[in-house]
Amino acid sequence: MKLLLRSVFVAVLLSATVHAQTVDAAFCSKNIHDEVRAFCQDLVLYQTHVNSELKADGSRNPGDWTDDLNHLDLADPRAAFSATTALSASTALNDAAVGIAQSASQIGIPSGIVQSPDQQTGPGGGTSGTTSLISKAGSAALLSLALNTGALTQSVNGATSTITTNGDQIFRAITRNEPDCLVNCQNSDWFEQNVLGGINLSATFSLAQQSTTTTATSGQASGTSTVQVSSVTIPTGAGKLSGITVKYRVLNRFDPRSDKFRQAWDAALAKSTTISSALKAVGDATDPVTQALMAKATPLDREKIYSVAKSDPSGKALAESFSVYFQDAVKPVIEGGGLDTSIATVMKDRAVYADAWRTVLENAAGTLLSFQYSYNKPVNQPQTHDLTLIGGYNFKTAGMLTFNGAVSLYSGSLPAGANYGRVHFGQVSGEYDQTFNTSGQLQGQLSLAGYWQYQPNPSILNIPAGTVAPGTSIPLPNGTQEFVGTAGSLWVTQAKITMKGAGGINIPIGVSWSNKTDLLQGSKVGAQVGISYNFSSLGQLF
Amino acid sequence: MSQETADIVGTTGAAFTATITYGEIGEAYLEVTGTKTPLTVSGNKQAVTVPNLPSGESLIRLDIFWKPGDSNAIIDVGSVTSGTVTAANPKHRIDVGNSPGYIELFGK
Repeated sequence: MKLLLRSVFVAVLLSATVHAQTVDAAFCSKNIHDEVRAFCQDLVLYQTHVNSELKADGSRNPGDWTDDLNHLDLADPRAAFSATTALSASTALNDAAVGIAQSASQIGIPSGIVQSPDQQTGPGGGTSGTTSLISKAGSAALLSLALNTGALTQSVNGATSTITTNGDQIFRAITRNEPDCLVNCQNSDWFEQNVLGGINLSATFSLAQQSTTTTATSGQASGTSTVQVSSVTIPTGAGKLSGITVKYRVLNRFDPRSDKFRQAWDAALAKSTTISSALKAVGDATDPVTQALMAKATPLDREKIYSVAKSDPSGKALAESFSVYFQDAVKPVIEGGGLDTSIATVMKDRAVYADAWRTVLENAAGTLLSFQYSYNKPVNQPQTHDLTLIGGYNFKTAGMLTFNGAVSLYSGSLPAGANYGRVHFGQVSGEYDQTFNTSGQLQGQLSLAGYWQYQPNPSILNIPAGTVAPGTSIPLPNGTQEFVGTAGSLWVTQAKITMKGAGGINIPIGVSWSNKTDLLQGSKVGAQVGISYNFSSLGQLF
Repeated sequence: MSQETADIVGTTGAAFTATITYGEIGEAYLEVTGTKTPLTVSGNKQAVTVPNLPSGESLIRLDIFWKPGDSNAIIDVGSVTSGTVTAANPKHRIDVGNSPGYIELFGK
């Protein structure tokens, strides 16, 4: 999409400058000054227009570029959008943004519910401490945190915390590279468009395990033991990394000018009850900023900036001059006070709107496939690499189906004499999701899932070195591995209700039945519960 | 703001529709020195009706849904019910992605 939008932007420039040489946007798109990058589109247009005045004989045919200058004049309302973006990046305002963001929940975040039913903020089914039997294609827009407890395929009923982010969103937020652009992203490169944009990353921490480290002792503190203890294991943290997941999502290709896409967009837009209120919130929050700029910002010296643009067709002088003007022009506005709070509110509301906008786009385009890789470190079991293919189909009002196909492979080299192979298990699974109560402040989602896993060998339990063999006082010097449970099929079914509240809070509650678990024989009925929060509205913290 | 920089200029009290070529208008307001009046959106959600052009400077605030494939929106005058109203020449624009977008009016 971003590639397409960049093409559109270039096309706009070309159409607006029939006789002009298009200026290389690099003079502003990669500029170190936030204000130059924020106003890049308008600076490029203006420089291109001024260059177009130059005739072959060296004389000029001056044009009317009043509107270009309207968009660069901080005292003009048409510059307010870009000015807000530029001002939001300043250090002083960021400090205020933190304060605003911390109290975002009290100042009326638009009801950010109506999330796509394929969004997932917690770990998948193969983890001890999860509420999801399968993996979904969607993920957090910027950042989400989930706490889950329960087990589906595992015997150990654990608790986990999972932090999830989108590669492109977090990159933009940290680097301040067009952090709030949607249809006007101009400065994205190939890597952002094709790689980061589709990647979601998550890390899961097991809260039931302690991180430990081994350290040397410095002598016996008491007692009469003659055996010297040279090193001990001490706890270093309450949680332990239990898995890392990388998911790559491929959206269906779409032609934004096709009737089919337009109809899908209109339908997705109409279905979203969030986006209208989010858009209005952005407008309401922007009005005070616009009024403050109009009242106090220094107007643009239009003659002066025209002279600068004429003097250097590359645009570099224009960028430099505009940066100086911007810094001077906003001083009286900032000194007037109150602007920092207003801008922080605008940026928060823009982030909420952007989240809703992306959801509409994903619903309109539809996800083709997602590929997921997970590195898992289960308790006292071998580490595994899990590869999952995720497919889904959204029936719109009739619900959504998601399918998984996965294979789990043991990590590293197999021990000498191992009685098992590289393959841990293979699985296929599916889930049907249907949302209800989409018009209120609390949205619900009913999920019904089924899961089949086949493993060629029983599960493996690691017996650490030093463990005393049962019935003896003999410690095992090198540790060992034992088969536990049974080979063959593992079936799980789950019914789950997820309550989705305003501001991106999700509370999933599920019950499941399985014919066995990974380490134990016999059927099991379990319950799962969790809570997650989507931090997309706090993007301006960065 | 002045008559020279305005997107649309007309006789005070004129009734007309202002149009944009891209984007979909969610809500629109006429803003005059601190007061904000909702405007009617029409014309495939790309037009707003101004029933009574204020004297001097005023603003139309447009909350705009932009979608993939949209370009800068050109501001124009649609139907004029009363008075005389003209768009700037050359016509002005709202940059793609900007919301709210502002249309500057001048009544004389």
